[in-house]
Amino acid sequence: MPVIEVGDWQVVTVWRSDKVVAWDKGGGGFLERLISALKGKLSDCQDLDRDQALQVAQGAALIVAHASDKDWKDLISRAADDAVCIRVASGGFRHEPRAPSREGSKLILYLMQPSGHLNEREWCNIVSSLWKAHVRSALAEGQSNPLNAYFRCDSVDNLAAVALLCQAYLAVYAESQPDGAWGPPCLTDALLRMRWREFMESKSESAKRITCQLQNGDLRNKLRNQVSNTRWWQGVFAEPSEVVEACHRECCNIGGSQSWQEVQRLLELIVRQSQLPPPDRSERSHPVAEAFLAIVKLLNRP
Amino acid sequence: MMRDDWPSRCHLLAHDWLKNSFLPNLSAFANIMSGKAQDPQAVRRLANQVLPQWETRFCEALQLVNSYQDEMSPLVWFKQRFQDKGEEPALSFLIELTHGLWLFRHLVPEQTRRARCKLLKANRAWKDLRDAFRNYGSLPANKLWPRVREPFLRFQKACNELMNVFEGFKRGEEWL
Repeated sequence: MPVIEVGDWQVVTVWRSDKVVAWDKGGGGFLERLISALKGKLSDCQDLDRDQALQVAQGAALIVAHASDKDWKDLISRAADDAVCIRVASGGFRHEPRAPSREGSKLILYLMQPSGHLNEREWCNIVSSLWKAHVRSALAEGQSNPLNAYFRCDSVDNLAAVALLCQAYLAVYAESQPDGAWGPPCLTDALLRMRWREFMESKSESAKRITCQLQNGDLRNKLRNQVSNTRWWQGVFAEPSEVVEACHRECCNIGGSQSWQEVQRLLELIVRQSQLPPPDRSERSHPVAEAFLAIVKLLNRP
Repeated sequence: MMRDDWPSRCHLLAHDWLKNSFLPNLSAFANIMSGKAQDPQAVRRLANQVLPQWETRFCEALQLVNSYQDEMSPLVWFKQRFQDKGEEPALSFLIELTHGLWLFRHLVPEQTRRARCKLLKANRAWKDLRDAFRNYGSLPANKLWPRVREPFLRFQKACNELMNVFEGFKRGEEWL
C-alpha cells in the first residue's frame, strides 16, 4: 500500500485497495495528522509534482484537498465514480457553509473546522467512518450521523440558548465555599467549566458589575426566583412546547445523541414544571449543571 | 443566528487577500531580492501594483479590528432574540454575564489590542518601504536592494504576524 508524498503538496496512498489522495497547496496543516491517522495502512512515500499527482488522483476513492478552485475541480473530475471528496481550508468553511452534496455519484464535503484544528484521532474517525456506506448516504441526505459535526453547519440556536440560560442559573446560585472553590458541590463541575472562578477573579469591568449585583442580597434573591421559574426559560423560545423536539433535532444533527439524556431531563422540567429544584447541598448533581455540561461538550466538539 | 458579516469580511481580507494574494506577492519579491529568482519587472510591479494595495486594505483591516467586539459579541444575538422580552433583572444579568464571559474566555480585549498593534507596526514598515521606493526606485537593482531590504523584510514580517493574529479571531458563535 504505497503512499506518494509531494513535498508540501500532496500525498497519495492506496488503502484497503482504494486510493486516497491528500493534497495540500500549502498552509493546510493537516497532512501530517492525516498520515498519522492512516498509520499502519501506509507503506511507502515518494515525491510527485502537481501534474503527476493529478494523474495519480485518477480513480481515487477518497480525496482530501486544500486546493485552489481550479485544482479542486480537476481533482473531483478525476475521482472514482463513487468517491468522497473533502475540501478543507485553513480557516474552515464555517463562514460560508456548504452542505454535503452529490456530483453525479460522488459525495462532496466541506470541512467546517479549520483544517489544522483536527487531531489524528479525528482524522482517523472521519476516514474510517466514510468507508461505511450508510454514513456516506446519511451525510448526503442530511440525516443524523456522527460526521455531521464536521461537515454540516446546522443551527444550534436552541441548544445554545439553553446553555446560556443555564449559565445565568449557575451564576446566581454560585457560592464561594470555605475551601475557596465555588459550589455548592452539585454545581461545582459546571462552574469550573464556565471558568467562573477565573472570571470572578479577573477584575474585568463585567466581573465587577456581576459581583456587585450578586452581593446585593435583595437583587440576588430576585434573580434566584426568576431563574428558578420555568416561565423565564420558556420565554426565550418562540414555541416553548416545541423546544424539546427542536433541541433534540439539533442534538442529532450535530451527532450528539449520547448527550441528549441530560439535556432532555432539564427540558422536560422546563416544559412540565413551574419551578426548577434549587441546588441541594447533599446532592452531587443538578439537572441544570448536567445539561450545561452536556451542551458545552456537544457544541465544542469536534 | 445570522452574523455572517464580520466573519465573511475577515475571510476576504485575511485569507483571500492577505494570505493568498498579498503575502505570496511579497514572497515572490523576496526571492528576487535574494537572487533566487529573476524578474526585470519585479520592482515596478511591487511599487506600482502590490504595495499600493496596502493603503486601502489597512483602513479596511483597522475597521474590521475595531468592529470585532460590537459585531461578534453574543450581545448581537441577544438583541435579536430577546428584543421583546422587556427589561427584567434576570435578563439584564444574563446579557451582562454572557458578554463578560465571552470577553474573558476569548481574551477579546487583548486580541483586538494585539491586532491593532500589529496593524500599526505593519503600516509603519509600509510607509518606510514606500519612501525607500520613492527615493531610490529608479536605481539599478544592485544599488536598490540594500536600501529597500530592511524595510521590506520588516514589512513582510509584520504582514505575516498580522495574518496570524487574524487567524486567532474567533469567527463562530463560540460563546461557551
